[in-house]
This record gives sequence, structure tokens and C-alpha cells, in this order.
Amino acid sequence: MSLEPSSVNSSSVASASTQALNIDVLVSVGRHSLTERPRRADLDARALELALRLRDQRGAQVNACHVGEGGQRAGSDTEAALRDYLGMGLEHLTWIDAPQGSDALGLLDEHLRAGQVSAGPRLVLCGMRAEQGEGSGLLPFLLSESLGWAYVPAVVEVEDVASEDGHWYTTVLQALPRGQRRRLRVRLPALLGIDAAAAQPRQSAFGPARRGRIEQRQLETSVIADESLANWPLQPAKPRPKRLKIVTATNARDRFKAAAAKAESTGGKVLQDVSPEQGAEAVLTLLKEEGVLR
Amino acid sequence: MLNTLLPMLLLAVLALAVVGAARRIALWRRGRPSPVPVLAGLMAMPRRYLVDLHHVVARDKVFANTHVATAGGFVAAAALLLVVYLVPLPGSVETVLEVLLLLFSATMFVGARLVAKRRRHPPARLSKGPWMRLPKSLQAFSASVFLIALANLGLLPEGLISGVMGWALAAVLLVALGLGLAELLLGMTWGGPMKHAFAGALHLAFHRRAERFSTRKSDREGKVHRSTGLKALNLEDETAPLGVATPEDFTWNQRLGFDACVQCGRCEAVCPAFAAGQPLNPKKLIQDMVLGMTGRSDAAYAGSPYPGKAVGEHQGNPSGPIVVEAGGALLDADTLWSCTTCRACVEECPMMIEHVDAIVDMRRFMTLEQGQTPGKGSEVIDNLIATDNPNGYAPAARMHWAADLSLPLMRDLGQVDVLLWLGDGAFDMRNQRTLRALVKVLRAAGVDFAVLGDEERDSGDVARRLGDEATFQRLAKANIATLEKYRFQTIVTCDPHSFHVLSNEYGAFGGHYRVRHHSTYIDELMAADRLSLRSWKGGSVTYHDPCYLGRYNGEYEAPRRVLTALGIELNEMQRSGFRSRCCGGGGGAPITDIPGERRIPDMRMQDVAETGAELVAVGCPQCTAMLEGVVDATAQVRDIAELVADALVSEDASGKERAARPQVVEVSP
Ligand code: SF4
Ligand code: SF4
Repeated sequence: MSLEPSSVNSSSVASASTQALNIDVLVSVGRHSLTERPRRADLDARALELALRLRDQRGAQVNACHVGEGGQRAGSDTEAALRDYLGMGLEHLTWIDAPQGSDALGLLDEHLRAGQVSAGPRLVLCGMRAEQGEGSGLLPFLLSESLGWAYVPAVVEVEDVASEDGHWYTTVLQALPRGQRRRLRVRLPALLGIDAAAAQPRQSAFGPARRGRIEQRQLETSVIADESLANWPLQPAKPRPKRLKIVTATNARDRFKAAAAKAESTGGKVLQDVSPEQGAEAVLTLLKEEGVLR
Repeated sequence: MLNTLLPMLLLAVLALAVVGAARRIALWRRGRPSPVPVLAGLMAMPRRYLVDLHHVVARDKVFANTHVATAGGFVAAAALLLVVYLVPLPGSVETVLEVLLLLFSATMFVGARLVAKRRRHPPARLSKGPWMRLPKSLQAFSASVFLIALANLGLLPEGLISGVMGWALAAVLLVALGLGLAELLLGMTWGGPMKHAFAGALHLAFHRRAERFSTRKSDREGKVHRSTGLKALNLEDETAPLGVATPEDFTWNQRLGFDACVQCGRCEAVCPAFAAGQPLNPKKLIQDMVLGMTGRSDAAYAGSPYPGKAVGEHQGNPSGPIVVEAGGALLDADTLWSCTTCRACVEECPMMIEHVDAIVDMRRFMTLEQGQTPGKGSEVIDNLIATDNPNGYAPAARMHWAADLSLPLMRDLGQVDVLLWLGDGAFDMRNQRTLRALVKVLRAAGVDFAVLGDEERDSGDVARRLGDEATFQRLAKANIATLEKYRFQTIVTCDPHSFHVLSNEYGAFGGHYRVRHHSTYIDELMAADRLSLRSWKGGSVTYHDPCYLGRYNGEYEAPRRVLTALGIELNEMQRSGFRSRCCGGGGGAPITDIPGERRIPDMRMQDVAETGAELVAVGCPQCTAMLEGVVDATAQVRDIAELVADALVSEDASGKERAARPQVVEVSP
């Protein structure tokens, strides 16, 4: 990980104990891609890793929570996966009961609002998308809308949390294609979606995983059924087909160069200062051109 | 004057020694409990010393004789000294005893001279420091006792024992004896080079692996006495500790064992990691465990350090962590992760110290509690958890290598003679060649065998050596449950690691099997005349003993018999048999990959090169991979199974028809 020490030290933060940085990490149940065994979801584990580093470096308060079906807990797939997160060094984790097929949105909204006790800086971290179920990656967007907080996707690093003029801000690095990074400053509270390029999650150890407490929580919010989930047929995900590059090279050198070259994006256009309608129009046109929409 | 002062001196020394012993025992007892039969242990101790310990010491003939003279002389002389001066005896008896005293102190003096001679240009493996003064103390003691006995027998010239001369001589003798007694008796229990005698004797009596030692019964029955399987952790009890974090987390008899170390450095001399310049020296490791008990710094340690780590920068804490990430505690983590668990140190240790147990105990804590398995360790563990194999391949792909062999599956047959255990080598293209060769041999011999196919899982060997006892136990239990479904007589495997785990470590979980390494099994087939083989025409050949076959399981002969039966005249390496040097592939060492100055497999291929052999026969997928990975090697690496398969007379021995009519094999060309 390339966290420069200067950026850590520059924080004016969270040293004041009343103003401790408060981090909620939303974790889901992952599946191994070959064996489908339950385990921590990779992106969520990276989110937790980021949070734990903030805890170790600047004493942030880390709470992890999972929304999922209650019922038989001991020995369940969910428990196995949640213990993986505990094994990273958490003492406890909240498991919010949600009946099968219900939407996690309202429950998370209530849970996060309830946690908003102090005026201190607040972050919510989660992986960009779940490894099973819909896996659309839309949840943080919807959550940020319902909470009225900012959402930054594809975050790889939280560089700083500082207050200015009575408001808290965080400086984060966002991943762009091909290893590029963009530094963003966001007003808190905010949701950060963690990218696959963020630091590798630490090893999950057996002892802390076994000791960690899973705290069950029932919320008042009336549960809303997740209609899209009910209507969608679910099938195992397959890797997305990639477009083949056709290389007409006569010698090995050219073939090698073509194989090693980065995909250059050709065509396309950058739209700036356009109305939402114009933007949507352009996206639709592109999708039609590519044959995605007919 | 001598006759009044001497008993007082002896009594005082004895009393002080007893106080020291009590303190030392209390120190050991601060470890975790480990129940041992106290009386039976004490009774067995003399035999363990004279037979098992001496068996190891005797590998160095010259020093063994030195030790017998010095130690034997000392024990006898000290006992006589006490009897003569503390027990009132009739004159005639006393004279006899004095004569004996003369004899034993003289023997001891000769031994002490030899010790002194060895210390003049000590080999690097020996510790210096206080050990350098030991020969002087030994000589002072034996010489003074000798002279005292002479004087008492009235054999000293009159002029020496009367008047001023007499006073002077008495003073000199008393001082010399006092110094000798301080080193030899007080040093035993208060710390010093002689501590090894006191702790060593008790260590033999209360050893954590009593089954290591021969008994009269085991000798009569010709049974092996070997104990190499790791001890299981109790994972059922959530409060039971997971490995060792502080010096006090070792069992009390492990702590006692550390104290028994004589710093002879035999372990250091054979340790492949030390030779490769990795930061591990088994002798220093044991000494650090001793320092940990009292919380001292290693500044006074006078032997070879961990390569690349200066002495004096580490400090123990009796109940504090042994390893701290920032360093400076008793040990650095890379020391623990350099070990290949090759057991060369344990095999050589005259004090029967169990280095590998201690190392794995500390690794367990780092993996199970701290999640700090270095290098690719955590990735391998994750793969084992998710896919039951260390490289994360799809479990369903385990049999892809044999798609054309139509291997019989246990699932279809239910009962066979031989269950062929493939091991994770089934995923490795190099090892697949070995497996194909082994299948060819089994078919040629008409063996009724089957494989588990994708029901097989990793044996758990690597997980366990990396300290992940939880994953090991899960895999072990799963494999045992699978094996329980089927009936077979023998498990045959070409992987010594699986072999060791299946035969020595599954027992604790209810899995008891008859397991054979493929070399042993091929040897049995040859003895039963079930294979007909062409004789060897290639160049000169040497054989590399895999640690997990040799030192772990005592199988040195079968592979050699097979090779000899092929008509190969073995060109042995200097380090072979129980002294074989590790290939560097065990204990997860290639996974944790701690950097050193050299690579262990390079050194091993150098050993091969020194024999001038063109081919090195191996019997382990791990050794094959490590040795074949050496660049510019002078020798080819082939598994025994491949050599046998190549020598099979009927080359068409691949199809099923072959297995159906094995008698054809009997026809010689
Ligand atoms: S551990 Fe054993 S072999 Fe090593 S120095 Fe000590 S007594 Fe010698
Ligand atoms: S087991 Fe082998 S590598 Fe480990 S300390 Fe002993 S000799 Fe060295």
C-alpha cells in the first residue's frame, strides 16, 4: 500500500477523543468463485481492512454490520462468513435481522441514523458490490440518497479526515482505469465504496474469529419486500465475455507489442455541462450502437 | 585441617545446590501443565541416558569417549567424595574408597584434558564464553580430588604435608576444590555450563515424548521407537490456548528441555536454514527460550548468532510476548518461519530437545491468534479453506491429469487392496509424470488399486506446519470421514508428507491406516517378484532422502533396495540417510520464503554435484520441485517411480488388459 506518512500525519483529526472518527462497515456474505463456499466478501473485507487501519493509526471507532436473514445462526453460512470478518480483529459485529426477500435499504437507513450520536466525523464503508444476490452495486447509491450523504465509489485509500469551519472533510483516493488515481475531498458524513484496487485484507485468524461476538439486532422499521429480487431469475454468474483484439502482425515483435499494449480507447466523447436528458440520450445512442440495446 | 574444613565445604555446597535446584524447578513449573509419570520416568532415566542418549553422542566417537571419562569420572568421584567425608566409615572401607576415588579422579582428569584439547581450537558450532572455562574447572576439581585422596592415603611425601608447606598445600587444594565444586555442583542448579547435566537428566525422565525412547520391551519386540507427529491442539475447548505466545505458555517439561541444551551446536551444524544464511540457528533458538524464562538479554550468548542478526539486540520477558512485530523481543518472526521442519536438529541433538515442536507451537499462535502467516502463507491457507488444495484449483479438476488413464475410483469399487493417495501433486504437471509412472508400475504388477478422485483433499500437512491447526484438523477429519466409507488394506502414496500425516498424525483423530510410501511398496512388489525389470544402463546415480520419509518415518532402506534392484550402484552423498540435507521444501518454507544468502536446494544440488552423479533419484514431489528448480544443475532429477516405470520390461503395460493378466510380466526377455 502506498500511503505516504506525510498524509497520515497531516491529519488534524480525531485525536480529540470526543471527536473520534466513527466508521460503519457494511459487510455481506461472499462466495468462493469455484467452490461457492461461504466466506468474507473480498470487497467488503477490503473496506473493513481500510477501517481497521484507520482504527490502528488514528483510533477510529469501527462498527461492522450485516443485514441478513436471521433464524438458525450457529453453523449457518452467514455465521461462517461473518466470523471471517471477526477474525480480522473485530470484537463484535452486528447482525440485523431481515426476513427473506426483504430490502436491506430501510434497515440500514435506520441502523445508520440510530448510530449518529455524536457530532464527530462519520464514515460508512462498504465494498462496491456484493458477491451474490443482485450484486448490482446500487445499494450505496440508494442509501446515500435516503440518508442524504455523499457517496464516493471506487475508493482505494482514505488519506485524511480533518475539520474546517465546523465541518468535517475527508480526502480520499479514487481509482480510475489503468492504475490512475484521483484525489477527492468530500464532506462528511459520507459513504465510500471500496474498489478492488484497495489494500489486500489482512489474514483472518481462527482465535479472534471464534471469540468475536455476533450481536443480533431487530429493528422497528417495517420491512419492505425487495420486489426486484423476487422478480428476477437468479443464475450463477459467468465472467463477462471480452472483445477479442484482432491483431494482424507478421512478426513476433509486433505480436508481442500488440499483446502487451494497453487497450486504447478509441472514439467516444466527453460530455460536459450537458443536461441530464442530453446525457441519457448519448448513453442510449452508445448502447444501441454497441448492440446492447435493440 | 583439610579433614575439618572439607566436610563443611561439601555440606555448604550441597545445601546451596539443593536451594538452586528448588528454584530452577519452580522456574520450569511456571510453564503449562503436562502430566508425566514421575516415578516411572525417573526409573526409566538411566536407560534413556545410557542407551538412547548415548546412541546419539556415540556418533562422535572421540567425544563420546571423552564424555564417558569426564562425566563418569565426575559422578563417581563426587559420590565417593561425599561418602568418604560425610559418612563415618570404618578405616578399611575408607581406604578402599579412597583408592577408588584416586582412580575415578584420575579418569576424570584424563577426560578433562581431552575436553581442554578440544577447546583449544573449537569448531564454530561450539559456544565459547563460560564454556571455555569449563575444562579448567574440570581439571581443578579432578586434580584437587586426586591430591586430597593421595594425601589421605598417606602417599604424599612427608615434606609436602607438614609445616608451612602443608598449610599452603591445604589452602591451594581447598581453593581449587572449591572452584571446581562451584562450577560442577553449584553450576548445575544455579546456571552455568553444567546446568545441562541436572536439567538433562530430568528432561530424559520427564520428556514430553516418552515414546521416543527405547524400552527393554520395545527392544525385545524389535519395535521402532520414534515419535515425530505433531501434538494436536484442543480446539473443542474454546478456552484452551492456541499455541505459544510467551515463554510461560510452553509446557513445563518443554521449558525443562530447553535448559538441558549443552550448546554443542550439532543442530546448528546440520540446519539447512542456518547454512543458507537465513536468520535461524536452532541452538540459539533454544538458548533464547532459556533466556525467555528468566527475561534476560542475549548479550552474553557466546555462540553463532542468527545469520544477519547481531547479538545483544533482543531481550526476553518471562510472561511477555516472544515475538513483537516491531522486533527487539526474544525472537523475530522470520526466525520462526525459516524452519523447514526437516528435523535434522532433533535427530542430532544429544539432549533430545524438540526444536520443531517449539517452533510450530510459536507459529500456531502467530497464525491462529495474530493472523500473521508471512509471505504467501495466508493465501495458501485461504485456498486450503476454500478449495481444499493449496493453490486454489477447482476441486473437480483434481483428476484432469488422468483423463486418459481411466483410473478406477473408490466411489465405484468400494473395496480394493490398495488405495492410491495422490496428494496435491495431482495438480502439478511435473508430479503428474511421477503419478503416471507409478500407475504404470502398479498396473504392471497387477495391483488391485483405486483412487479417491476428487473426494481426496489436501492432507493438511502444509496447513499444520504453517501453524493453522484449525484447517489441518478440518482437512484431517474430512479425509478420515471419506476413508471411513471404503475398505482397503494399504494406502500407497508417492508424497512423503501425506504419508507422514496419514500414518502418524491422523491417529489422534481416529484415523489408523497402514500406509506405504511408493518406494516401500515397490520394494514389496519386487520382493514378491511381481515386477520384471530391465537393468539400468544410465550413468551414475545418487539418492536424496526426503526428510519426511527418512527422519520422520525411518525409511532409508526400501528406496535404496529398489534402486539397487534396478542394477544401480548408488553413489551416496556425504550427507545421506539420517543426515540427509533438506531440499528446502518442507514446513511451508517455500511459501513463507524468508530470504537468506543462498538457497537450500542449490546447496543440495551442490551435494549431488560433489558425487559426480548424473542423476539424483528422489521420492517426493516437493523435493522434485525444489531440486529441479535449481539452475545450471549437473544432474537430472527423477522420481524412483519413474526409474522403475522406465525399466519395466513390457512397454505396453499401460492398458487395462495388462492388469488383467499380470502373469505375462513374469516372462523374461
Ligand atoms: S539444542 Fe541440542 S544439538 Fe543443539 S546445541 Fe543444544 S544440545 Fe546441542
Ligand atoms: S528442523 Fe531443520 S530447518 Fe528447522 S531448525 Fe531444525 S535443522 Fe533447522
